[in-house]
Amino acid sequence: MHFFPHLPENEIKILKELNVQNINELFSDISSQNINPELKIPEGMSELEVDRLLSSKALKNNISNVLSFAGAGIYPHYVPSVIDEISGRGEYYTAYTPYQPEVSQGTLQTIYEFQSYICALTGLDVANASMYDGATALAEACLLALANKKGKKIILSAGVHPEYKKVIQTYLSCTDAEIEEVGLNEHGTTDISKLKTILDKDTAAVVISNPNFFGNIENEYNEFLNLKNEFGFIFIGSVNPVAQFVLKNSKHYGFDVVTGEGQPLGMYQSFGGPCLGFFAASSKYARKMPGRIVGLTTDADGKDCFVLTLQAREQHIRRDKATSNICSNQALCASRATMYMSLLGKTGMQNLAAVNLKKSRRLLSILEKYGFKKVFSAEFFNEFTVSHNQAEDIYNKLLQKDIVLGVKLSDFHGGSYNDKLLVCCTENFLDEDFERLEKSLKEVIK
Amino acid sequence: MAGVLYTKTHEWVKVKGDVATIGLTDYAQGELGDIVFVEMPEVGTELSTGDSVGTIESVKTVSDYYSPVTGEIVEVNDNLEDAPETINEDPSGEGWIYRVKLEDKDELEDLMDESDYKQYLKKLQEEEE
Repeated sequence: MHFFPHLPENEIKILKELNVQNINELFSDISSQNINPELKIPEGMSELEVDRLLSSKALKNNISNVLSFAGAGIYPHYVPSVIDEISGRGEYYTAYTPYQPEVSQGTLQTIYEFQSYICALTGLDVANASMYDGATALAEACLLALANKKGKKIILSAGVHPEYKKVIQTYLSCTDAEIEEVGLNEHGTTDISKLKTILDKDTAAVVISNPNFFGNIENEYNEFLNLKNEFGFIFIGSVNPVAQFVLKNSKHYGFDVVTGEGQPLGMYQSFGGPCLGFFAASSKYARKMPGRIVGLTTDADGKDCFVLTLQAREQHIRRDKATSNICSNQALCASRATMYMSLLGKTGMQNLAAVNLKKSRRLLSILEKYGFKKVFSAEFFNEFTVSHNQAEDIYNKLLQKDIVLGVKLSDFHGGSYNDKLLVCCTENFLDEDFERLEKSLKEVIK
Repeated sequence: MAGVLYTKTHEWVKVKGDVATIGLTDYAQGELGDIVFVEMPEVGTELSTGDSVGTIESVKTVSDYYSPVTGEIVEVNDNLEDAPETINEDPSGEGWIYRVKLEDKDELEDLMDESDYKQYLKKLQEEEE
């Protein structure tokens, strides 16, 4: 038996079956000038010349003087130098779960510990080896719900990150699922009374974000839990991992699936990636979970060992019935998150969350001095929405001083948000940063 | 087994009154190997003939199992949740999977009796060889 797909006699057979003369005919829909066009690239360069060229380009990326309060899903946390040191070691430096996994016991153990941390952090029973990012993890959670429930309706809170919503729409575009959105109330959190009016037996899942995109904490956990018990939907939360140390956990909300963006756990902002999705569920849904799962078992000699487990969920076994086509993970970022959490420990993470609470309130009080108003009355973690009638002008002027005052909400939600900024503050800001901001605000606002 | 009917997808059906008990045949459990998980349906689910009811996972594969009849599920074998290997040990007894209240008993005429099923298995084995 041959294992090469392109033996000449096979090609002839396939072409005959397709009723075409040659392979080029298969590409006849593409205009010939688009096939293998001549590329306009310069002549080759010496190593020295390339070094000079790339160095000069890299200099333009110098952001060491930039003071950024931009979050909106990816946050400016401090990354301890030990994370770079350890994760850069050859033993850890891999992007994926290995393809012959059981010979890589060290990698599997790291992933197993990552999963254990995510279970502890989310309060749920089982976590996978990680996913691309928070957005795809959330979209996969919707697929899990559709695979478990007869209903076709997915209700998204308007507090879910607008880019996450787009990813969910893309993921579900080829299914018969219907996406409905429930708006926010005057406090800036999911409108429970509106939610009640669109919930029905056809609802497979309700998805909220906590804190939500506008920074607001969804505090009506009892209401959500009661509705879940009444309607039997799968309740999905997309959460900030650091905020979990000061917020009520999955048990209070009744989350069946919790996903989130793990970037705050030891990854840089890096203009938006690489990110790290995490995914946890109650054990009831373990067999419909996406991605790889590492388990602990014993080998033939009775010694502990790590294996990939519950693989019958995955597409190489379940084929078209698999709920997900994810068969790897974000191993390098997951390793960094594992190192980060083990470095800080539970107390360290609690302290980190407390410092985030404190410093973000300090930022708010500075902004309020200069005429900014907090838009929503809901409590916040380390990010909040403010408005100012000169918001756009102030934002642009601060930018010239290398200060990024959050993100402009009009970039996400259009014109009616022209006066609103979403700003965050973490442990990564010192007295001198707050003083610099205040000095600049004084100069900018006259 | 006398009074037991069979499907081409290797389920058995035992009828008492208007309730049918359904399980996997000994042949099916042998083909699957050690069963590690049975995805159970919910009581109250309405089934039509040929519907996929759930999945059965063994150490080497995962397969759907199908409804041989039309009706509503009235009972499921909860023991399988903790002891799925019961299907390997006693497929036609303790390893039953669910019970359906039959909507149309005439459908049963489309199923095979024991000797037909044995013939069918023999044919399958011959085809394999």
